[in-house]
Amino acid sequence: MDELLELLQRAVPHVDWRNEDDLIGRGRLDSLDVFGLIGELGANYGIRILPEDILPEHFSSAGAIRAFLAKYL
Amino acid sequence: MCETILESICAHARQAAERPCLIERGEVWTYAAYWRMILGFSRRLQSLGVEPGEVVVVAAKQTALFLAAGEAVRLAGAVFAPIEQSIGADRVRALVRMLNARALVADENIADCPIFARLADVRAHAHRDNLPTDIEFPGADSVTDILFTSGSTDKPKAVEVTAGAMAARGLAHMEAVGDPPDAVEMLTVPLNHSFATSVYAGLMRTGATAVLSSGVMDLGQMYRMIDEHRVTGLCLVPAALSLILKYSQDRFAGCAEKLRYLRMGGAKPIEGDARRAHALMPDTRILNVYGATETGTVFGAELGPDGFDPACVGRSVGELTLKFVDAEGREVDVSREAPGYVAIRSARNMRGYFGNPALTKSALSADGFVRTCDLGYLGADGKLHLAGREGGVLCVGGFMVSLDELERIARSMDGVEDCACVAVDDDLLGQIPALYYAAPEGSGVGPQELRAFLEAKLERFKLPRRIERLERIPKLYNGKTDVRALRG
Repeated sequence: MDELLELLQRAVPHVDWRNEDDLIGRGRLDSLDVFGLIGELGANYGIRILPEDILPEHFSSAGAIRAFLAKYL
Repeated sequence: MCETILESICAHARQAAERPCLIERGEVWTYAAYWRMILGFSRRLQSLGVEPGEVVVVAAKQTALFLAAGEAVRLAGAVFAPIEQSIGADRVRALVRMLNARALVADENIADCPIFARLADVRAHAHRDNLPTDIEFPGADSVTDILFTSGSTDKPKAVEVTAGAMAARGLAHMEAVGDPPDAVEMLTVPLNHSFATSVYAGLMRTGATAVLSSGVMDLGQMYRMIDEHRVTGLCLVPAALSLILKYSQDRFAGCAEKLRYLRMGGAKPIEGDARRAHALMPDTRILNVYGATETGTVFGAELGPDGFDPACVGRSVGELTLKFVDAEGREVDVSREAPGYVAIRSARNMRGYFGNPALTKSALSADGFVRTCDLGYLGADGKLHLAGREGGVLCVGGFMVSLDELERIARSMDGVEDCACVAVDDDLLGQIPALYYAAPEGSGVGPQELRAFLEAKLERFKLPRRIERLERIPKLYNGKTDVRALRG
């Protein structure tokens, strides 16, 4: 498992990050999960995610998170 | 003055047809366009066989189509019962059975309702011809809404609200902010939540504009819409304010000139957050309102000028009678040391609990007072102060969560030997439910399996934020759970 998947799995263990998608639409992540992730991502990568990037589509799957993180890394 | 919200929307559609009524991501609905959707979908429901007085369950979404579906149900003379969108099919079926619902409006036909309509079809059925003038509106005394609340029991309670009571709830909300017809208020609270239904009612009554947002979950879009649509007020629960301040304080402060007020409700405000928001936006009013699903909003405080005491819910809003009662409903004298249950009589009160006269009788007295689950007293300042809540129920981010219900359902899972659900402190939400359980080796019940089991049976907001497996649940000498030991 790569580093990001490990982080996501640790931060929100009730989601199967390798296989699940549409996490917001299906109600698998709520706002507290999303903000928990934002905190973990910020601490782990030393970044500050901008409010403009806090959008449901950026957190719908591990792939979507990876894609929007690219601009910070 | 229109007696119901439907009449108000209809009147605005005629007199101010092009005024923005609802705004959501990428779309603006004028009062005329909204009214056409309501009219058209109401006729669609009637053609499908929905009769006056029947219950129509609608799966909630943060969209104009959802709100139009609700108004259409009311216009058809039926009863609008919005339900949480994230609940599983089993739960939807159970609620449909409980309400003996005639129809379901949702994305998918997941219940055994005799009639099903797709929410996305609301738009397609919009009325296209000249607007009729011979509209028959439900009377102010007709029950038009059923709102769910957990209250103090472990079973959902279905609160019946009349059209007149809903209009009165709306009026109270708009009075709290000075009744501005040019208000553009962003609703970030789920639209099936009692707090949001009342604020929406107030905006529609006044002819103002409601901007629909998923709130902090869609923070980027929320700020874009505040800028683009010149939002003047923000309606949110206290937990959302915490997240906004924690993750976007500077961006939030940049909205200070636009936002005339923040309207908080659904849970106790967090003192530190209110202070920070006030410091960032000294000219923005920070209102905190208090009420129950059964009573609508009944008290309000302005944080800042009125102080920052989260337990003080301020002065009464609109006309009402307040008294304090004991557990048996007898009026009592109260003080800070000996508070009583808050009991309210007003035009905003519920009609009763659907299909449950015994429960109605226990909460609604013969002389029209609703006894809430909150304990309180009137301070020397003439303001209502809250001093606790009937046991077993937590308010988490604006939603009532029954610890007993969580425990009962967790216990019903094969392999769970024992469990206990307790309230633990949380920096963001004040208190959250934590579930502890014991299961024998080899039972296959890990925290994730237990969570998946609960997910299938409960609304998303009720799920415990923490699930932990223990060798055994600590007990007191009398066999009761040692809550103190669990809280550490």
